[in-house]
Amino acid sequence: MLFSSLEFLVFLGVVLVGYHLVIPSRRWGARKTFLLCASYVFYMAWHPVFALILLGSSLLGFVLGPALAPEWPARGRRIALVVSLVGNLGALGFFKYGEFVTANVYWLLGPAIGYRPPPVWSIALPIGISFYVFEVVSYSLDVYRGVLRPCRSFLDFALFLAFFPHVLCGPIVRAGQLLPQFVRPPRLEGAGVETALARIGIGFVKKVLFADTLGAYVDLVFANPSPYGPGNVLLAVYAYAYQIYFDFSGYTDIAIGLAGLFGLGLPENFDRPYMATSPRDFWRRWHVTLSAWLRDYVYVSLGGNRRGPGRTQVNLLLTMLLGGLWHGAGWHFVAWGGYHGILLVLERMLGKRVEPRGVVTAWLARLVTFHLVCAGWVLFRAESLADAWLVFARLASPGQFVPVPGAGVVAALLAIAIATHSLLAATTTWRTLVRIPPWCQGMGYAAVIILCLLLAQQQAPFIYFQF
Amino acid sequence: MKRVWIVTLSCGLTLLVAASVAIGWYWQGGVAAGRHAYRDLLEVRETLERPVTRRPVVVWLGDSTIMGKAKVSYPRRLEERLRGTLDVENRIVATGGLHFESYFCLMGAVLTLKPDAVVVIANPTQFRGPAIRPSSHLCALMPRDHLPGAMWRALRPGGVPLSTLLSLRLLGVPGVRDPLFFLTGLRRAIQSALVWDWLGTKATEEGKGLLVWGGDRGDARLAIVDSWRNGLGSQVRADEPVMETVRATVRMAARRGVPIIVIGHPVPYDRLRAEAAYDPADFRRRFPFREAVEQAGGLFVDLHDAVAESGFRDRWVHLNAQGTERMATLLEPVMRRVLARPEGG
Repeated sequence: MLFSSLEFLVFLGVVLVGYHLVIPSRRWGARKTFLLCASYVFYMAWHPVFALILLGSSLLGFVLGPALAPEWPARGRRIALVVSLVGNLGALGFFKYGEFVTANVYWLLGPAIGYRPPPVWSIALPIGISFYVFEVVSYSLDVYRGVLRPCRSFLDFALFLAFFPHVLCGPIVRAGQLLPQFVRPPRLEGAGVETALARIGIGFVKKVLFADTLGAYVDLVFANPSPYGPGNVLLAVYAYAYQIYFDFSGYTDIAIGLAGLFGLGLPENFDRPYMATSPRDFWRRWHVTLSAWLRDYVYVSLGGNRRGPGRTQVNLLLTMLLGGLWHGAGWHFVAWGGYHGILLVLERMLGKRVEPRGVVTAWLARLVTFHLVCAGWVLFRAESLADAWLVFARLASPGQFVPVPGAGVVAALLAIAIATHSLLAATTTWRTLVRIPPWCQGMGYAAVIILCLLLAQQQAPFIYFQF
Repeated sequence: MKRVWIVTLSCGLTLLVAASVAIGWYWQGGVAAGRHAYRDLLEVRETLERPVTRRPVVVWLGDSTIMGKAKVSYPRRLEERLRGTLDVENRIVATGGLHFESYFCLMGAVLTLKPDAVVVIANPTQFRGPAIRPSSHLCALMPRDHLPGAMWRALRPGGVPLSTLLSLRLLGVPGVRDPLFFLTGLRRAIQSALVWDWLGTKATEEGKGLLVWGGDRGDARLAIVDSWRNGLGSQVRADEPVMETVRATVRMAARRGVPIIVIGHPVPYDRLRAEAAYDPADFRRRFPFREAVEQAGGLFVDLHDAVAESGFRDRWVHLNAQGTERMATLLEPVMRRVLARPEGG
């Protein structure tokens, strides 16, 4: 049930009517139960059995929560934490990395076991598992550290994990951000709903108009870069940088907007990432909730910068390697994480020498950072390290631009994307939208719905669905 | 909240006006285009709902390679050959672009015919990753008792979504069918409008990693366009969802005691050998049908190298009269043997 499908439109209509018009606002518990049921129906639309894993993860997190609180004996808390982490991360490891680990172990043991092929497991990846497992882990660690009180209501806890706008692709919500909103009925205000609608509209335009159009060209060139010139490949790399941004930030806009329709707030995930002046700045702007998660629960747990410069750099590198691996079970994702880790280490080593001073150097720094990030995207987008190498080799080799159908449109869309990304602050667009007359807004949203129904590629799910 | 109601009303009214304009302008055309888009569904429904006239009945599930008259369709040719000794009714459930996902969706309905045997065409050119024609709408034809099983099956990574499975059931409801056809037809009309040609962004099915064989254009050159690996050069791993679908399709028939034969459809192997690397053992390794079919209780007949280049009439591995005759000759003893079995009679 993609957000851009007719089925989702019907689902959302039913849920909104049920939530706002059928169940009275004073019956907050009933509304939450209804939202939880709707969220599970939404999740089960992909595969009913996956809902059991989500439910299991919710139960494990909830049941162990009170045992993690500081008032319990230290030994018991530690055991509860280990069980929670092993249970949740174990599930993630099994479903996401089982085949990858087995294949690599067999490869390593090759000479000893006579190069036998690894057993075929054929494990399906439950959609959204990377996101909700990280949410349960953050909850457990927050309770263990005494930052958060354990949740007393299973309904609230299950809804925190399964709430349909964020269950598939985030943002990775902390319990401290969403659980307090479930305590009493949220106040739904007109301005909030208008902003939510504006964000949903913008999200769909980002996805359907920009990401999917750019994606068609990217797929063509990345499938086999050999026949194309370096100009084509460079255009494809730039196009991918904006495709993945529009795809994921479009999803986030829709998710935040959808939550807004129920009066609930989700954290922001992007802050014009290609305006970053350094790799560190990039990670403060790109997939913010994941960066913050990695910082708080991996980097800090490893010791952060408290154990000297050498250890800090190792910690940075390890954190980014894990961040890369979180995106998928493939060496090219590990390489992508490692690459960003090295960039962060280098930036830390160079210190203030690379800090931009003045407008010109700031723009120069943005340009350099953008290209460094783009090089990373090649590792990320390629299906293997060998494929990534092929793209780099094509970029470095001589050749002319091969006229490809659609390249002009891609270039035009990129120009619009770069201009809006550089000139408009993220909040400006929807704040401007809500100022226009409401009848005009309504017509605009109708146009977006028509755009989605008629043009959306039903076979083009959001990129982050696979993670 | 007053502004929100105005937004909602204005949105609703705009959609209503747009829908009215579209319906007034394009209803007939849209419904016709939608009906055309779902033609395989309609044709297949018609074929499956036709009463059985004689026994034995053999249902052939396949793509365009077995469609057409007896001259170019080996199931038809085979029926002619068997007439007299075995008066078989060959029920051909086929349309362009069907593949194992479609066969899986259809198998439940096929089995309701109580066939004496089922023959499935495994066309290697259909195994190049995402299907060129998504046919999940064929699940509209699934018998109701087959639905729960289908939800669990990995038709594609993650399975055919439950929402798709259920919403497509609406295609069986006459009052809903025409509006759905209209919406599909309108989508098709807009997505194939000339403007995309001018902009250069029209997505064409042709040329996306397909084997392009210039034989029908006179130059008789085999060109492997773009990606040899995506076409016949693709590697289908035994653990891919598509192979799981192959096993599930075969298993469904085998469990009901219906003999099921999967035919590895011919490819122009001699031309491939001349123009690019071709090795029969390597080909079989890359398309591990035999293991999948036999594990699931079916019979695999590998005919991928049974027809020489002169037996094909175009680049889409459609056979000409010579190739059809050759296939009928090779399959005749197989069919006789299968239909002579006690469970086949």
